[in-house]
Amino acid sequence: MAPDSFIMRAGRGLAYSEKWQLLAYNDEFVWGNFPNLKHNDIQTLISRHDMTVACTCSSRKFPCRHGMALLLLMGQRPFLFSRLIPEGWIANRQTRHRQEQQRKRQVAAQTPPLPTRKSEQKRFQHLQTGIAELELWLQDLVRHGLAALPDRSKTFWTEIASRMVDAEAPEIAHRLRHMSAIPTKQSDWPEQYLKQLGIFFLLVKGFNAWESHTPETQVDLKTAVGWHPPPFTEIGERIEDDWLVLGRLTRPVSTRNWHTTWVWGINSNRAAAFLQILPTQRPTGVALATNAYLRGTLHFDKSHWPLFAHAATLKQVKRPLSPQIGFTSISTAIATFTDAIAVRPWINQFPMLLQNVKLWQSADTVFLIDAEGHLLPLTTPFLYRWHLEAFSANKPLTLFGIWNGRFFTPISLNTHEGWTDLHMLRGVK
Amino acid sequence: MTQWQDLVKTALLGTHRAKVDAVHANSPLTDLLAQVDLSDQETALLTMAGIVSLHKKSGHITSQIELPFDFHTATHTSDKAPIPAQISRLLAAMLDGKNNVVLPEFLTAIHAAGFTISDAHLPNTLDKGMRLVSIRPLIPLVLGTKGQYLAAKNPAWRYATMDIDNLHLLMHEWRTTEPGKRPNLLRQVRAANPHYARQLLETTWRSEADSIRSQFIRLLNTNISMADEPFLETALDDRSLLVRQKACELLSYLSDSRLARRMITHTRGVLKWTPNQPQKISVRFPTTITNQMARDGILRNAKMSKARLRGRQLVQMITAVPLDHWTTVWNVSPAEIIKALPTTNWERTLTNAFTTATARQRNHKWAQAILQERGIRDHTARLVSILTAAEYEQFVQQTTDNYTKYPSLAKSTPLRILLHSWHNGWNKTNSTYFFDAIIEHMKRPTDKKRPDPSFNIAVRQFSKTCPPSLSTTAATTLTSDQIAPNWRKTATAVYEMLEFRQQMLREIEKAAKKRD
Repeated sequence: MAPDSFIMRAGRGLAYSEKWQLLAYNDEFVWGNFPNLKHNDIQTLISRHDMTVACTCSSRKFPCRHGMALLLLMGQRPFLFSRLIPEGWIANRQTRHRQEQQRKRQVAAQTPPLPTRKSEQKRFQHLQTGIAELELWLQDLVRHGLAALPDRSKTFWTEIASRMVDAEAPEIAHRLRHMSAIPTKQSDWPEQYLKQLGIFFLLVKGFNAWESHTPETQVDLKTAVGWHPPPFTEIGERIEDDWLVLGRLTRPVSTRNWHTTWVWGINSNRAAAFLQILPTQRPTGVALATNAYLRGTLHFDKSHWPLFAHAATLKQVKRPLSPQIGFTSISTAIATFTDAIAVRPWINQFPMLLQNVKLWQSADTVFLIDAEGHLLPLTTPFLYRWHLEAFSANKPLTLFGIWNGRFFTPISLNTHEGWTDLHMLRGVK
Repeated sequence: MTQWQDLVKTALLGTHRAKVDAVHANSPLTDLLAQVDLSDQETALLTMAGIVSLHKKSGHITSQIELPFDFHTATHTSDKAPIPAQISRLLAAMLDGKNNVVLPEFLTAIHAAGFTISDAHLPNTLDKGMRLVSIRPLIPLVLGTKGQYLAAKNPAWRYATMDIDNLHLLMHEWRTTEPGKRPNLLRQVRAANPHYARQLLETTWRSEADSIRSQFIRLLNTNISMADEPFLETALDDRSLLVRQKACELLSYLSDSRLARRMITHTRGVLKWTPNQPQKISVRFPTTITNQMARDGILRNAKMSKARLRGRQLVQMITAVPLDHWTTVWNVSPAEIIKALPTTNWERTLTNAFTTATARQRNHKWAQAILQERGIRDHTARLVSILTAAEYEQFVQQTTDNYTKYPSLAKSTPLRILLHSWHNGWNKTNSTYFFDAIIEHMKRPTDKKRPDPSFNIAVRQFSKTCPPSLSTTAATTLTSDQIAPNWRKTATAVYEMLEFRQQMLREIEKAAKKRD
């Protein structure tokens, strides 16, 4: 659940009652006041039902160390908390949270989708304008040639990226910014650029033929540019299952942090992602612990290959006996990825839970290898190679991670103590 | 795939210079590409690029190789239990830099308790040992079978699996290790097997650069013995001045060395015991410094005053002469010699020379004599660590009037020197006394804005080595409001260190009991 080991350690350091001015609870929430010498006291609030964490500190990490400390105190020493009536910011936050939860439940219960709001129509117009601008920019680029790209400064990319942000296409903006980091010292740099530019152009073409697409394709196109539908508005499948929390990836996109928490259905053997787009300052969101099992119904967004989902309520349950989930070989995983791309070409993060793999190194690249000898290259640099070797000790591993079409990024690992986030370990070069 | 390469070429040049050609349909992909309208060249190029890109992405075939190992080989299970989670967290904190000075104590304790490092922390512990040579001897003890397997896989961690007693393997390691990492390797081997370390050095000595040789020769300071004498004797003729100087210094540690015997000859007549004269020790300098004397490290010429040159020469000569020579030839005790020094014109120089000789030769009779006669001062501080535990305790009792008084712990005072110069372990009496003395010192108000940094260092050093059971007392005394504001930060740091060590040892003991 912690974003990194430093926050975990800092949280542990604060998990003492004498460090808090107030520790309180009611039926739905737990909260605390942490003294702050320079400014107002820090107030931290946690919902006991859905683990929403909110804090007034200025930390950009989610959950912050105060949230982690309160969670630890809540779990290990609940007797320290006094039943109180909330006041001020705490009371306001609790009211807002209740209202949000109620709205979620109402929306989830409605079967016909909500009508598109006027603001969404306006937003779509902005997006179309941005897409048109992107089309012109791409055509201009290939007209003059890519040869001059290595000499271009970063602003060449950040300018068009800023326009995409204005057009409400943050995902495209994010990828445009990252294109400035494509290493031009490598011999295949023109191919890397052309591939990405080609994908952008197909997206543009997709938006140009908007009316002719199915609702699923339209949602996929919007998601590809970074416009995720509000919860429960574009509902596709509904799956009731026990969901194993496998970890979270956080990346900065534009001025916000995108937190993608991945879960895997024990019976359905389906992957799902909860996306939270939170501000960098004082983020408030749901913190799910890796290795937790949650029972409930997930409402997937409409898509040709649904990945993003929402849940009205999820209840923590005990670990089921020996769940056999995921892909049994690398070739099966890749074949599934191929099927997914065939219907939803814009997938950049494909979840793979791989059973029975080992590590193998050739030159400077570390691979996962399965019993059939299939290889999957790991992202470089990969700082947890030696941790995986330590856990494995020549035994096959079960890993969860993301495949982007070129590299696999492990996120968590199944150990004898359950699933562990790799980012909680300190990487070794 | 030639279509893709053609597209890349066109894209590089730009459509205003190169053309996107029609594609002949002969496969599903080229069928699709053939349908692209070429009238708008930019659109055509980008569309084709997108199609090919998606085709590559979706058509990814994983490489497949013949398995280079038996996939179902038996695993390396640990022979000993790994440390439990709450102890792992303490290790994680240390590896992250918090209280990492306590790492040797921690590793020793978990080894004694029969535990190994947990899987999650094996890589970081091995990585730490790569950089911190002082903990390398402890790491193999706590790796277990899994850790040994891991260390063997990473060339940077070979230090953990090296057989220090196998000279042939060590030679191979020495030859194949990167030059930048050889000092650490030498340090590690020297600590465990000084003879082999010297032999490694000898294999490449002549071909090393001057700066490297001067770096390596310093490392022979560890576990120096007469077995190193022949090598150091030849180093007296080295082309590098720094190497020669260091060789002289190291040979002066060895009372039976050839240099020591020659120095006895060189100093014949330089010092004379004249108890019946006002100057009880007469000093007469040699008229010439011969080539042999210069080779043995006695300064011949230098850009300095004659008095200063003489002083340097005197120190160089005296420090290399075995101390027992003076007591034997003059038939007097060390205390009598030290008492006689103030009667000479070279009191300071001779005191320095004898003190240095005592420190190098680790002669605790002379150490006692010098500390008794000359006092516990800054210039005699280095002799404190040579004392035996009983002798040290005697000095503490003397200074504190049998532990009844709390003299000042200010800079350069005897009690302060006794605190920060003792590195040989604390017994209950001394540690309790010094702890109380530290508290008393911290309670005294001071008008200085910044506290004395050397006291800060001395106290923090004490907290790392004293018995951690003092944390029980520390909980009330170090957190008391009576501590002067200047010292509150230091007091908190000391308390936290004691508390951390106490917690660490307690957790290890508890885990060992639970396991058994």
